[in-house]
Amino acid sequence: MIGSLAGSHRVIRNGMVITGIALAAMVGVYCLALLATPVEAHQGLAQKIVYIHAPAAWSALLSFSIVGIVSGLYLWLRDPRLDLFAEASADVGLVFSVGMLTTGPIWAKPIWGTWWTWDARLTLTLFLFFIFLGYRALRGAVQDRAERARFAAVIGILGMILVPFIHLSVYLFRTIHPQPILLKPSAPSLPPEMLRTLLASFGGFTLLYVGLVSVRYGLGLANEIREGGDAD
Amino acid sequence: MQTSPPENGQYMLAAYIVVALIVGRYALRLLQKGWRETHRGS
Repeated sequence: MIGSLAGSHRVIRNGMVITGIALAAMVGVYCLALLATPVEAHQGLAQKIVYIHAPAAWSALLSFSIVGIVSGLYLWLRDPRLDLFAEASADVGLVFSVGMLTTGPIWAKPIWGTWWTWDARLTLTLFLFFIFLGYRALRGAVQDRAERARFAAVIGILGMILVPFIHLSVYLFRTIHPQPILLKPSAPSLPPEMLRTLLASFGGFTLLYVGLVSVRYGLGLANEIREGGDAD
Repeated sequence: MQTSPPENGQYMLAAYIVVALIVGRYALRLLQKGWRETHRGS
């Protein structure tokens, strides 16, 4: 029993409302970043990419961490809803990853002089993206539901293990990528106006993650209920 | 010595457009699917 169709529709509706609010918040963040945040003296306008690149990276790593946690819970509790939630989070995480992996090189070109370098942070992030592409491919390839959920959960947990290494890679290895400006033990290293915009963007992206994952999870749940004839 | 910031606004615009297209398109597609699912048969 994974719930009722009405319950899944409730999840979708709530997710749609949250997504709508998050999209409006993102428009606000764009306006704040472009119109009301000062231009950095050394990097120029390209520095403003931080307001979308860092939050996209945060949302991607949050998504994949949640996939790992929920997958671990699935292996323990064997509740199919956990598997569906992990699938939804992985899907949304891949979208944010594409955002992170495209804005990174666009920012790198004017600042580092190259679109890409095989630096530890960048390489690990790319490999994380490939792991979750594999996760998606695996889900599409295995027909048996229980087997698919079990295999996917293992890949999800393995992917999550990479997340702390990605965060710490700038400390562990000699790397060209800047160190964290927010998620670090000391105070944020940004002027207040820039910090305000960055925090607003982090909030907007996190809300967008919640909204998107809710809709995606609700759709998966409704589909599963229909296929399994589990509706009320 | 005071120097003016480099002229690289095109990179910023490209990044903002790319994110709006990737994330925005996915969000709109999900909203569309969600709408269809919740209004099925009504």
